[in-house]
Amino acid sequence: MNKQYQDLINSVSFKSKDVPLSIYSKVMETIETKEQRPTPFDLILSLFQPRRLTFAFAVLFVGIFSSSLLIDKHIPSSKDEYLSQFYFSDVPEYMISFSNQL
Amino acid sequence: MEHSSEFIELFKKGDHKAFEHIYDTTKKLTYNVIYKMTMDIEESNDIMHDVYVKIYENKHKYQQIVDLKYWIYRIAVNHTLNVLKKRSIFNKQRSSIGFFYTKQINNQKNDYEEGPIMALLLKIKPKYKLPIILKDIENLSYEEISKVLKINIGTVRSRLNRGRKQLLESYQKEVANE
Repeated sequence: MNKQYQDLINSVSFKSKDVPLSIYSKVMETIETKEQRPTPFDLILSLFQPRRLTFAFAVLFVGIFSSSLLIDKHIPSSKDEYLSQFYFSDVPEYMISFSNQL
Repeated sequence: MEHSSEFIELFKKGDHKAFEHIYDTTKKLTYNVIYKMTMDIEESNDIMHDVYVKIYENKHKYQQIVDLKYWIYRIAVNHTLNVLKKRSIFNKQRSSIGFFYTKQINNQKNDYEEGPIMALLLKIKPKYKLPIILKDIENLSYEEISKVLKINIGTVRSRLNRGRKQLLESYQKEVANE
């Protein structure tokens, strides 16, 4: 078996492939890009920079202020006005008369 | 080639010059083993790129128990096996064996100069194929193969014998069929 195998292997001249030159530059490009990319820790740390922190607080303040404006602040002046909020204005007339009969 | 401790420290610290030197001294064997396992130039280029990026990213994990080049070849072999497994190239290659033969018979210029033998090698399981590539094609010693594959020399020998036997049998079958 060994002799036959050796003959088989010797009958072929295995050619060594040349490594494409572009591979190394691509490897270094990838490595450098990864090295420059900030880590999650860097991103969190960057949030605490004074300018960004001021901006974040400004956004928060404007958000709270504008949302408070949107809230209906009307306070009822009397008990009737307060209770009138809970009446259904579109209740059919016959139902009101029916309830009065009861 | 053994690397000095100072050089290893430089490499571990991410020195680009040290990495370039390591790339230059190991690229040829790494690339040829990858190519002979995949038989696809584009695939080999992609794997080669990923292997060296992986080596750089894992540089701190290297321990000087084994020589740096064997550590690199081991990463290359394992990564190639993983890629082949994931992309199920084995099946694709098996179905294209006929294609290799047709090309060889027609004497067309192609990337597979070693045509029939390499086509037959694709039929063999990676664990038997790898020792053949490393020993009979890349001329590594049994000891070196055992370091690359992280198996003992006895296992290298038995896998090599089994691989050779399978390769010869496949060849004889092909010859009988022609």
